[in-house]
Amino acid sequence: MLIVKLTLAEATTAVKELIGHIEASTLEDESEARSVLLANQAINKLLKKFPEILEISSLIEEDLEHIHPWIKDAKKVIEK
Amino acid sequence: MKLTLPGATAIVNTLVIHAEVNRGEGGEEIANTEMEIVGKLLAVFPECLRFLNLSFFPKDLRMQLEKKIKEGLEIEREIEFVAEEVIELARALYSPLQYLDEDIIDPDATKKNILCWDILEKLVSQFSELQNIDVGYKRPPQSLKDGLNSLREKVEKVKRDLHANRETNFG
Repeated sequence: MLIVKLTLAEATTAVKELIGHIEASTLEDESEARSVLLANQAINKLLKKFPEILEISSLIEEDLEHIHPWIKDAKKVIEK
Repeated sequence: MKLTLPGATAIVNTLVIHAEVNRGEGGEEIANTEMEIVGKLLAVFPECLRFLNLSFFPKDLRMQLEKKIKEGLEIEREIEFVAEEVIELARALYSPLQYLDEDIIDPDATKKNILCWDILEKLVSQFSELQNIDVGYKRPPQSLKDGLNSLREKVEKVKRDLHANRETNFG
């Protein structure tokens, strides 16, 4: 385990960039699918530690809903 | 007493307004007690200041609160990641930096890029192994270290420009 120290502003940027990273994935192979799932895990950890990120920006909540299909498809790719 | 962030924000907001009203009507003691409670709440929830409508507050108080907001945003929290998650985070943060040249015309994108850069530098300073990860995606492989070094000069120029703009605005 690695312990990373981040501020609220940094964590918000990190969540936004991880969402963009997932959206940019074509999920064309297992390695991309794994990246999507790892990015999603990182987002979940950041939101758990900084729940106020969702209160600062309602757009992030919409973005999180938007990436659901990527997560679902990534899981399918891994399960194949 | 357990409170959520929205709950604490609502209480702080109400108490600050009450305290100002009480002070205006000569209720200095009650106002001080109310502000003491505000102080205690802010010690636990410094970030709740971000959600307050500061325009309602007197100038001095607003300035104090704005200072606290800044401090609240700068509080660091520790997050436990597995190494692979940190690598994905670094790759995600590096991605927008590749378009730094194009983003220079967009101040918001530029500020975002600088923040991504600063976070990456922080991550690399904490985990030197990150320097070797590939951030070249589908193009020729490029290590994060080489990527950051190739952008360093541009980022320093953008930082200088942002600083210059800020001085001009205030001047």
